[in-house]
Amino acid sequence: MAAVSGLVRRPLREVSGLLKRRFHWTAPAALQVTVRDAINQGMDEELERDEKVFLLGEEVAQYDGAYKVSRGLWKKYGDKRIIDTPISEMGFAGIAVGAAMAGLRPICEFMTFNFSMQAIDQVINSAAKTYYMSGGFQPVPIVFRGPNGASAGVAAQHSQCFAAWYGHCPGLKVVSPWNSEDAKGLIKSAIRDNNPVVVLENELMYGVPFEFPPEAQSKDFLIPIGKAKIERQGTHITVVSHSRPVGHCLEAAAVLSKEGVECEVINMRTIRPMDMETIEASVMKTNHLVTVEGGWPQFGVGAEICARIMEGPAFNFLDAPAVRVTGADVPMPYAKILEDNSIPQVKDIIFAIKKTLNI
Amino acid sequence: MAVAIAAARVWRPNRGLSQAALLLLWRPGARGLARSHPHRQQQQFSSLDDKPQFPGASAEFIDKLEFIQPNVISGIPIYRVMDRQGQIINPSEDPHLPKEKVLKLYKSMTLLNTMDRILYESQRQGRISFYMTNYGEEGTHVGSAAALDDTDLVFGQYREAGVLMYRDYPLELFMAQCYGNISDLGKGRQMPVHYGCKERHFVTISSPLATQIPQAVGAAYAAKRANANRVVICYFGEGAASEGDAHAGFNFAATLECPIIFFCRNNGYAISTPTSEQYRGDGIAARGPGYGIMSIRVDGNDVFAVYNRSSHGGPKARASSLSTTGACGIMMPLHAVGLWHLVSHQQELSTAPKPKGTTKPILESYLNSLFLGHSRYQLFRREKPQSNLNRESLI
Repeated sequence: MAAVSGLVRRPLREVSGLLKRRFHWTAPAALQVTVRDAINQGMDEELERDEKVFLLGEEVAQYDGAYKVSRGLWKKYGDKRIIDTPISEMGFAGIAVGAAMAGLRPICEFMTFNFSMQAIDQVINSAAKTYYMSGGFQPVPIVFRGPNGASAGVAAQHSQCFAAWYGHCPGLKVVSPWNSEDAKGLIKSAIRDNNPVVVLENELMYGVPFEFPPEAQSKDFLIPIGKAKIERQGTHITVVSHSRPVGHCLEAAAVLSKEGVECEVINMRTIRPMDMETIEASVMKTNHLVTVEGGWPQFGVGAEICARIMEGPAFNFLDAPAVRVTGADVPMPYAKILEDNSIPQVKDIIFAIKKTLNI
Repeated sequence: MAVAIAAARVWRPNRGLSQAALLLLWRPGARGLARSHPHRQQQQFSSLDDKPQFPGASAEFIDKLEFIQPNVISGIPIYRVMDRQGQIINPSEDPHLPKEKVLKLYKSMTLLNTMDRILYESQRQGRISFYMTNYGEEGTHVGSAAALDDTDLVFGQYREAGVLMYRDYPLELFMAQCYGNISDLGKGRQMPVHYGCKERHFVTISSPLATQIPQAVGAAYAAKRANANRVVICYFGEGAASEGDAHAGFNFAATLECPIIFFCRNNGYAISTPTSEQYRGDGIAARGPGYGIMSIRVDGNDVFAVYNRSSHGGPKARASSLSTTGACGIMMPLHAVGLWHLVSHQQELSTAPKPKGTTKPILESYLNSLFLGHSRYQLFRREKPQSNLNRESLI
């Protein structure tokens, strides 16, 4: 590219009086996009691309979304594509599943995934299992999305992480984006996927801006479901995480880097199907593993990773038992000091890494 | 044959179904007959004398095809005692409450309104993470609470602080709960406005909507089984009534004949969703008869009307044991005196009109007409705070 522009520029310089203007190639300024806007863009592009796609949920239309994620969509697409529903998760999830079975491609928004428990029969028994139970005859191309996991000051009934619950079920795909790029790529892949996909967003990440690489600005930017990303290369220990804790892991890695410990941080991106190849390859390189998640420890994402490591080739490469860093095994309290101590903090991750490395 | 004609009418050739039509298919069941009327087992019916014998229905035959149209234009009428100026319209409906009780109603309502304003400001300033105001609905809480016994069990949704206020829950405990501080009896586990008080028989608020409805029915059933002479009141909003739990709760209350009052506060909006998108038909009150529940619609801004209907529901609900159904449904449409919205630190203020907390309550007009010359503040003597709570702990 540079060679071509050099060829173009030389004759122009020589013909100095004739042409004052030249082609000026600079790198595009780094674009900062919040996770909220990335999801919004992703949905907007898919709504535009395929008219079978529609969004339904509580407050998604006129209110621009309970967390403003669907801002502007109702104004652009109208009542037929963006639908405000009455307060009945069981009702509108069922309606969405029926619509998906009949050929549409709904995006069903739960105000938080805690309220998906009101509808979980529709998600599991009707969406997840139908393709299998019909012998491959009836697909259910639906996306369930909404904020998942801990927020700030919303107590137990609004703070549960459902990654382990939904990740448990065959028939579902479950993704958990961390940054804006993840959010846009995964929501687009989810909408284009013919399987039921659960997209676990995070309310505290909605307002966080990230640098948006140029390829992410394309209307066909997709992130494959089932592929993890190595956010930071390292040699001493593998740290695996999903959603908001990925940011905490990167902070911990930055702190430890000053002490000479290089952590390899893996952003899972997909909970189901889990990308074990990436994790195993990393463990075989570093020989140590720490998993980090916001959810509860028992039967959690970390537990599954550890079990699979033991079942695979990477077990023989471990120099120490793998350690899980998880949310505290209590319903989330409200008071700030209690809440702060109920979710994994950077210091907890650093402590676990040092314990594993025996330093 | 009748079914075919009815079906043909519903599904017109152009397939345009503008309204859902309910086609009820009943088949006479000899089995059902035998169970309910054993003495009819041997009886033969001639074709000239056929009465409907459908299980689960008690009605006459009709040979003219007529659908029941949902009637929203002249729906269930709204009971009220006072007009907007606080004048009693029909003297026979005046509850003739003693002056102290009326003052207590008024004081609870205004105290709640004042507390709301302070806590709402606290939320906007970031001192608490969440708050829900009760603007415009004070009359519903206080009127219903006044009609109940102190031991009657209350299941609220999240906008019933007036019930606790009427039952003399201390302000310090309201504050402590909202701030999650060391004086909070809930030890900082719950979000603000999730009050609960065992001594005052107020079940702790739970966030998921309408889950309290079947729970309230269960509690009422337990009270009935225990012959406790106790009524349960269950509050919910018109939006929460869309939840599946509401349907289950109503149905069970009627079939199990529980001493329960269902109290629906209809303020026209669920966050930003108006009632036109929440439901069709003649509102929540009209659903009551469908379940077999005695129902009424009351002006929620009129505290005497609320009092009358709750107290009428109370003894009736209480008296039921085996015979009549005890479940009683009261729907409270509320005029937009205070349009509210829940506030949390993440939300921008909604586009709904701001709450107008300064509108004069009807009860004040009523009181002013009775106690001429007294201003709102002169009606109550200023009380010294009773507690020795450390003020710092409230910040």
